[in-house]
Amino acid sequence: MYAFPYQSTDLMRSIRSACREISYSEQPVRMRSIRFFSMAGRTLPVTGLINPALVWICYKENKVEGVEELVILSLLITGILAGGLGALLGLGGGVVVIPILTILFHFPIHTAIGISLVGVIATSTGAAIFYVREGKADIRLGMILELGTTLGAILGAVLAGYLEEKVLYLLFAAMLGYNAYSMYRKTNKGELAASVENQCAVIGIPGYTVRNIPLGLSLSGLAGIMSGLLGVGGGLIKIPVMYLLMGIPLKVACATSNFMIGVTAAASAFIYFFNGSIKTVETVPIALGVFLGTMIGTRINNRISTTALQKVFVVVFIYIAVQMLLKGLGR
Amino acid sequence: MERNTRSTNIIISNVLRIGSGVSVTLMITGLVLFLVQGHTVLSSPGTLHLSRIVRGAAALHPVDLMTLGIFTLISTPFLRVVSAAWVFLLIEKDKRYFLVSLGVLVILILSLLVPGVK
Repeated sequence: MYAFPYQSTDLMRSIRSACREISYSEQPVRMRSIRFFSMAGRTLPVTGLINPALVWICYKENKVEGVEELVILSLLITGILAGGLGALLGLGGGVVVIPILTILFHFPIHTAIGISLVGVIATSTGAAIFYVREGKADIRLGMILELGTTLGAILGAVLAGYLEEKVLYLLFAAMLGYNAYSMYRKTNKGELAASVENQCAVIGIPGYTVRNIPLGLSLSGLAGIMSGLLGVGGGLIKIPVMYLLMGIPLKVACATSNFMIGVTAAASAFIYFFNGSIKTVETVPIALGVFLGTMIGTRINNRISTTALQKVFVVVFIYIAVQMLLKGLGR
Repeated sequence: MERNTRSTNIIISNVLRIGSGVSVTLMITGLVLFLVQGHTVLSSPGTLHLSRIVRGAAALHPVDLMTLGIFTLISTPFLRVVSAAWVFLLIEKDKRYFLVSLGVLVILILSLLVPGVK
């Protein structure tokens, strides 16, 4: 039997024991339903909604085996969510994946970061395939900035190994807070209200000159560190740096950032991979889900009001930021 | 120049398509085998050496297949940079940015050598 790595965590242990108790009990149905609800109630405050859902399925199917398939399925759904939201909101998806993995699934944060980086690469690659508008990306500029981001990413990945889990949670919460704030300003400003993909529908690029290269390079290094450390795309920093600081047209900045995000994540992903941080069986459903989600997200992009979605997610991000903060402070 | 750019974009996009196609195929195959074969253990625990993983994948070990798929996925951006370097050198004859891309490639390869801390 494949030793599912987290058999010793709350998630697996509680689900297994709950399923075992319910399935193997010889009591009448009424007693079993009472047991089920008490189990669900006990697990709910600790680990969110996944546990009761899985316990419910065990209860209905009356079995103990098959927990792994269910976890794989829920990981797939997580990936789809991340890919879809990433495509719609213009994120890398890492901000969605890591909280779900750490809060709901109880993965250690280093593993979650590794897995999230794979998802970020999937998002970036998937989106790049759909938008052959890579022609609109300033690959030259991207390459120069990549010198900074990749070095930063390696630094961040190595640093993450030295930092305690709690510190990473707190840093992540801070980043999420900033994410929520910048998204809030986007929804208010109106002109930047559309998602990254919408903004990148280019009709023609005026000529432009690039300014502030050294500063842009160092800030890109910072974005790289953030990417390697926290497992996110880093577009959060890269796009404003290019657009506001270096005088790049917004649409070019978006396309270039998409190109850069994949390369930056790859720089740190290798480190996490050979570290053993990327648990294969858990990563694959997420990566597949992200590809699917990106495809779905880019297709329904036109039918969904991105502004409304962004407003909803300002609140969601704040909520998640608080959760991560609590985790960082020791629950 | 405009036509050149478009055809090179098509080349790069195809490279990406092939790369992600290969990785997705490996991952799906591995996952299906994993679920069907009933959660068999990794061929050899612990060591993450590429040669062992490739050998295991050739032998159709589900987890090794999936691991190889992930590795391919992570390598795809690497291919992006290689294609760009190629384009800079041969098609657009831009030596300076060829060197910049080469620099990024060197850094990416460097990341393979960093031991990292667990």
